[in-house]
Amino acid sequence: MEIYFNEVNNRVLAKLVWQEYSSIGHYLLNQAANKLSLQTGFDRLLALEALPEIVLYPHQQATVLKVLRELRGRAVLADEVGLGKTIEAGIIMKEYLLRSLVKRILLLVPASLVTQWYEELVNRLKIPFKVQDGSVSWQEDLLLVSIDYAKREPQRSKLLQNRYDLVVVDEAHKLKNKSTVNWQFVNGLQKTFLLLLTATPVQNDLRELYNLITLLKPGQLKTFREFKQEFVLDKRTPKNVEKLKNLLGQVMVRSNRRETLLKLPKRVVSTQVVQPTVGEREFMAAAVSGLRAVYRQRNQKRQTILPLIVMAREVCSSPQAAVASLEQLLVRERDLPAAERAAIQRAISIGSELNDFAKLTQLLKIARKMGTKILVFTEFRRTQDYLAQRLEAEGFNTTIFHGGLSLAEKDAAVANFRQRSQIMISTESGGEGRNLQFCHVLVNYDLPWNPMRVEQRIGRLHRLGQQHDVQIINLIAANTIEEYVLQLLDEKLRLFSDVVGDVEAIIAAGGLSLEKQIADRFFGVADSGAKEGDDIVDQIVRRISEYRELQSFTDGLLGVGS
Amino acid sequence: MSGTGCSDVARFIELFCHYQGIERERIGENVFRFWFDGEPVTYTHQPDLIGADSAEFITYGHPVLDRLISSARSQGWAANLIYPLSAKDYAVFREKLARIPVKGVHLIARQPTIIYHAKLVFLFRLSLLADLRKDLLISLAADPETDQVEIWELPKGLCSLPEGFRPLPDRRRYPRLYKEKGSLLDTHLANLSWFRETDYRTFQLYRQACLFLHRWILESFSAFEKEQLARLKCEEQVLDEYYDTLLREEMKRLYELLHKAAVLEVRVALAKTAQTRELFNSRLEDYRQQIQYEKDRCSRYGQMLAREKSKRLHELRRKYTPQALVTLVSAARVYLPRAVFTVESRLNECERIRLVYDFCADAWLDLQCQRCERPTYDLMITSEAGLLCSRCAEVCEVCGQPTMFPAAVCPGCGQKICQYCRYSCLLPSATSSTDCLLCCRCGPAVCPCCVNLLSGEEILD
Repeated sequence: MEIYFNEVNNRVLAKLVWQEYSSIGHYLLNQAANKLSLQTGFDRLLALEALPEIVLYPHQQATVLKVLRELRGRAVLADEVGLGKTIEAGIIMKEYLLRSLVKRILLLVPASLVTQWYEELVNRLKIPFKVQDGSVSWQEDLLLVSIDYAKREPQRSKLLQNRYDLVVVDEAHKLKNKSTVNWQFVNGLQKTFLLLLTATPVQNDLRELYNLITLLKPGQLKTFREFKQEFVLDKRTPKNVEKLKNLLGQVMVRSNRRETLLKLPKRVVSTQVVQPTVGEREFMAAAVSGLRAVYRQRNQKRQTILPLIVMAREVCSSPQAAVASLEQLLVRERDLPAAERAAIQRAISIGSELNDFAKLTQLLKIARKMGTKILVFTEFRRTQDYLAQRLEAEGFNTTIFHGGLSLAEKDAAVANFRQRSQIMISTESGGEGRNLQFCHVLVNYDLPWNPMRVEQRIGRLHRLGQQHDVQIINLIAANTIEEYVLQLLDEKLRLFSDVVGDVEAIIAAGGLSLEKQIADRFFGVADSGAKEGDDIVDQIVRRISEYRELQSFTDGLLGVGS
Repeated sequence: MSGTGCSDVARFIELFCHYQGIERERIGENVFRFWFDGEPVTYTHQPDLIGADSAEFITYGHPVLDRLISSARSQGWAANLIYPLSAKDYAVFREKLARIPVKGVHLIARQPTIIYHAKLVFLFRLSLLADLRKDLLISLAADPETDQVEIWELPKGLCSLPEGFRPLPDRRRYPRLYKEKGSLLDTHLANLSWFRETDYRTFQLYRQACLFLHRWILESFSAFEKEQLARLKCEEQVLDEYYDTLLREEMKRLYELLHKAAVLEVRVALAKTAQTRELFNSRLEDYRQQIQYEKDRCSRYGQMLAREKSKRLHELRRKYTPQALVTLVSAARVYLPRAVFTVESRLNECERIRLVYDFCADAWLDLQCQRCERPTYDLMITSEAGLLCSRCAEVCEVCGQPTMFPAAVCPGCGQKICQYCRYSCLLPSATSSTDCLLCCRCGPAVCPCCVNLLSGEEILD
């Protein structure tokens, strides 16, 4: 063993020799400070103590500890989509940084995920990464780069010259081909530790898996010829599976949803269809007839229809959410035909005076009848404010929670809901990572048109630590677009009752969006979009099924959940 | 935060506030301006205070905690400490002293003298580095009298040495014990020439502590080193095998060509006609060209593999080579009170033992059995002013004192007796008195000389 004697010892010796003595207080304080900054083995995760707002699931904690203790910092994190590979990798990075085992980290991610990673690292994990967009020095210790940017010259040469303590590659299935620039580039990097993140380490061919593992630990699966002889029957069928599992277990960690969420309680979904009041019907009819022309016109001219889709969702949510937007529309769209303008003005006037809402009445009934804590979701802040005001007026202690709150305000809101309030009204944004398992009733006051949002909402309550079956109540206004939305989300996609991994990632990967189809139907142009909409639903269903098949193949190969 | 981490942080902050004279509940703005670059925030490590206005957790990695730690670590590198002798400690000592059988017939204890014994304490931070990191603090005390180094924790109850206290220079009583050298340690010590030239004695003690630590690390962490090296060797083997096989697989074609060329060479040699020889020669030439091409290709491939292998090996060695980094965190001169006194035999003033009592450790020091010469922790002082361990000591059944010499058995009563309890024959004859092994109780009644003498009978030679 090489034993180095630190040259900073001089400064202490100098004090001793020149008799520059400190008081015993400072002397003991120095000892205590040194004791506090001692690095023990990985028996406990300092990162979790440094980040109290982060609570890891048991499988995440087990993964982090396994990577640190057994796999010694070189691993493929192959958790199923949505089980938190990002947070696991983040905690590993934080742990290494806190323990001074790592100083320089290179994080390579797809260009589309740079911002998401940056926010996660800087805001949540408090690791001051710099995004390399050409303006940052290549000598930065903590560098976040898009892999597509990094692999091109002259960036490539600069990175290859540097020596990194840890290299992390997200979406590492893009390194499945040994002859690609991606693979060559990552292989060429000088690194002590390496983390590869992918939910699908093998997709079509076992060679992909071989290439990934060889990148991580050359020789682990021997040469490809030997690997093929020993472990491959055909492209996707392995032989000597037990031995292969054993070898893979030395470099790969995987958790699957079935196993980790096994202890989750049931989801009990119920839909309560309410008859909208006359005023509500009139408001919606007026708003739709006013907006229809603008929507059609923009559709034909291929202009952006996103603001109109948002407006349509606001109209469905509540008049309070829609009125301000409709007023702005009147100001912006000066050449709006008179009939439409009049319709919108009528909608505004009805909406401003409306005070009786069928869904709100139903919500009050539910709250009174259940008497337990209820989490109400709405998409819009104005609806949220209005609901809070009405519920408070009815004597319910209510808390609001949305993305605009500061960290401390969010803490306070959750604490208030836990201790005092019966009802929390929340928007989807900003709720990630909050533990609200003490509540088990969720009311969807309005339905998200985006399937990705559904799991985000339910996931706030239906998570590890929940003791009761989770009741999901969808409030639907009869004979409105909401019935169609519910049919798509619940009956076809079964998003409310089934846990389908990270729907967001599955759907986003195909660039699929249901919002436009729903908006088409809402504005009465559904004839053209209906079939296409159904196609998209079918595509999503197919994609989920493919995803499940691939996951179970990977599980079988890696011996997870067997 | 919860668990050990939380309580460690909490304890540290308590200590910090205590020694900086800060009441934790009232951390004022001026203090924060001084310590934390002017952030007027109420920081707390108590989770139950969350929710208070502008309160924030102090956690591991928290900038404020980092600043507190670095502030604490930038001070208190050296100290002059003393363990003040308290009345309570002295009372305990007196009680122990009273239990020593020095007030018996034959022993005299001189009045104890209180002295302050100096120790030089070095607190080292030892960082074991490989693909994981483990730190520990180790406190070593070097004894200026003996140059002995031992692992020693600071006792509680120390305080700063008062101004004006000047201890006497330390003397070395025994030769130095540690001779071995480590090359990196040599370099380190060589770089401390200023230290050696300024205070040679302290330098010597520091050197002894470093040598002790060097040897201790090698002994204590040999298993860790072996484990790391075994891992490294194992992974190196996998790499060697992998790259060798890769190259062999790549050279397969070359071997085939060489084989074919060799066969053709034989055919050329055995060709029956010039025409067939010409034909084989031309084929052979083809093969040779292919062989050359393959050789070049394999050579390039081999070089590429060698470069890659060397890179991978380098990464592995960086990861697994065990290293230890020794940092001196602080050093202190510690003065510990001791009571020193002698016990001597009343009959023979030359027989005396020196006793040293350490108030701080509440124990007698350097006790060694004078018979078996092994260290002992019992205080068995014999009537001859000797010190024995419980294994060697025999107790006189008459006076109850341990005895240095083997006890005799009184033929009268059968009890073990020391030389001081032997009966002295009334006759001044050396022969008769030495032969008389009676105890002082049986003597007058049993000693034949005395019996005769006392009964008025003549004593014959």
